[in-house]
Amino acid sequence: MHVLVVEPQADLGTLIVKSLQSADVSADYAPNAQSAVHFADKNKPDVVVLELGLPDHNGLEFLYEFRSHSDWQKVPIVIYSHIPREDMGLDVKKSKQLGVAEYLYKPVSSLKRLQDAVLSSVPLMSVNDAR
Amino acid sequence: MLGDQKSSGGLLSSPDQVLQGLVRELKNPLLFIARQAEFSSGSGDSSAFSVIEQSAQEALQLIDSYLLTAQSEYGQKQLPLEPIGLGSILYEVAHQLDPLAKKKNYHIEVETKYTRPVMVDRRAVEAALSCLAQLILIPHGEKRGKVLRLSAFKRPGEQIIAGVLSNGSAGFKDKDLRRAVGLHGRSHMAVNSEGTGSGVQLALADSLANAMGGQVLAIKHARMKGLGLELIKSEQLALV
Repeated sequence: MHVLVVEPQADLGTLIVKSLQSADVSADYAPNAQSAVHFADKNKPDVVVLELGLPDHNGLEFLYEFRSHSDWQKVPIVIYSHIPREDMGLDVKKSKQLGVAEYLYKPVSSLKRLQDAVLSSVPLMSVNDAR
Repeated sequence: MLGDQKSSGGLLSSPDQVLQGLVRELKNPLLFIARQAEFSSGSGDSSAFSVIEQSAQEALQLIDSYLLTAQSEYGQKQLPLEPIGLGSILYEVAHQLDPLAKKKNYHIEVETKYTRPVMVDRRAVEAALSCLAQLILIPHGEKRGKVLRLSAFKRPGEQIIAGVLSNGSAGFKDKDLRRAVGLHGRSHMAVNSEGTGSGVQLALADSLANAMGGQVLAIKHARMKGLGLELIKSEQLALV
């Protein structure tokens, strides 16, 4: 499994990558929307871990743009954000439409919880998407 | 940068907005400390890292409570009240408090005697109860058998209470609490007792309770005492 971590705080992004690697998951780290697209182009991720508070982009807009690429439409997204879900206006229905596997609020969600969310999001992939 | 930050023209223009912006920024290093400590606890002195992680989590919880209070008080956000059963809220708070309670030699219990819905904002109730619990979870030596009970019950006079109670001595003297909460149940800033600091948690909890039409009260229930939120019951589902 390969994960793309999109996180503007470099220390935290690197830590998330290490945490995933300790669970035998390979991961790339992207600090903003532009580099996220670059990494996804080079190496299509199986899951994306996304902080919605991006420095160069509205996180929801990035999500919509990510979904507009035909290759990435079925990639599960685990949101790991400091922004509460209610403040993003991302209700359960819209989350499902956007392929959000889980919405984790950072202050109360441990790395272990994030790992579990990433690992359990993979069954959302269809058989045709399996590598 | 922050999607939930509202200000005119995108700039922080008033003292309260500057303070809120500062407080939001504080979350970043604290988050990193908490997660790094969690990651590092797998090697070396795990108890030391566990303490670091817990301290950072307590600070993050206090920051979130302040931000929610500030947004509500400064009119930036209306708390969306909806009918919710208190049981699920109490269990979630118990889960969040468990590491802190263990650290302070408390065992957590949840008791839901009142099961009908109340009109609340879930995040606000969770934040307020966590604030009250921080006041009560003060260590008193290594005495075992201390219980922290999260309870939902109805008092005479139809008062619906979500409470944090203890069978140990709470981290404040009764007379200090009565002075702090006041004759009309309004909280004041200073709970002058050892280990409670400025009592800011009490002020935050009361502010959140006010935003939901309620207040903080000093309570006694089932031979335990503590602090509770008076909440408004939902009439809507009572008609179903």
